[in-house]
Amino acid sequence: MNEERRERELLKGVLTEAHRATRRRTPAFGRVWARAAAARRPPTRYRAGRGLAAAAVALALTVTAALWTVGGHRGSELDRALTIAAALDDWQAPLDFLLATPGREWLEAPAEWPLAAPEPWALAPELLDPAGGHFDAGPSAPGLVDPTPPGSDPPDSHRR
Amino acid sequence: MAAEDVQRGLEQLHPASFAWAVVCCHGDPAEAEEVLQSAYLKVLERRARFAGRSSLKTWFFSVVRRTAVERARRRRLRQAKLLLWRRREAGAREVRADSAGPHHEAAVGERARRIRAALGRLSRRQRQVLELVFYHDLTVAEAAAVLAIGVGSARVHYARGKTRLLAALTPENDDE
Repeated sequence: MNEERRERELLKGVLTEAHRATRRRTPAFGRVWARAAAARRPPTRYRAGRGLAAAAVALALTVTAALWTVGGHRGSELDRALTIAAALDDWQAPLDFLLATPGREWLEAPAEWPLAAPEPWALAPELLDPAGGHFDAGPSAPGLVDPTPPGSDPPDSHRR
Repeated sequence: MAAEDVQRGLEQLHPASFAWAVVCCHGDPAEAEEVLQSAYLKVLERRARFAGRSSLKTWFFSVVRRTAVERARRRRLRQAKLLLWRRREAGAREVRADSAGPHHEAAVGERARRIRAALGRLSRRQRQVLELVFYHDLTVAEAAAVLAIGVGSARVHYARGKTRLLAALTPENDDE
């Protein structure tokens, strides 16, 4: 125990002696403290201004978000739908070029005849009954040939 | 703790704080004064706050050590940038810093020379732990808190440093 205390005293003495010069050169507390206080940044106004700026930015963000949510949201949905529709209209499949075969244009529209087809009565106006406008398609009509031979049944008489 | 109380406590601690700052600055009193001023500035701007979890001395010594490390790191960065064209000046500054250390003036006489040589044999951590324990009367645990290291690690530095310093101070080992 005594040995430990002796060692402690010895080491304390050594370090105290080593710091003798340091103690002499110790600057006054007031001087160092005053220099630190002078180097201090402007505290209250700067921080208050910074707080005000942060509050203004937060308020602007809140108002913008509220306006977007209430007013602009539906309009933007409609705009988006229209944009998608337009994009779909313009869309082309990547392999569409394989269908571009010669003569494809004939398939893209119904065929057109150069002349209108004649109505049957325009070809044979005598078939019209001049009295009542009744059309008689019987075998007695001139110009028409009955395909069934005389005395035989008409083609669909056996169905009755 | 009120700001006025902290200021009063720091005023009482000031000589010890300066001595500790000198150790943290590798013996450069001018740099130690700058470090101490920066540490006071941290307290004034509340970047360093005393929460009462330890003694005021332990807390403020820790602030001083961190401040010294930060300043040394910045200085090293600056010196690295200027190294190519200011090598000679940087070297001269280091020589000035060494010669202006606290032990420079103490190096008059045989005993002072021997003490300086003995302290020079310690590693930086060993020297800091011994300073805190023997000169500033902190416990090993408090020294560990100041240095931000584990208590076990501080005990190892303490034991090895003490053995080495005692061995260096005995006359038969004085080969300087």
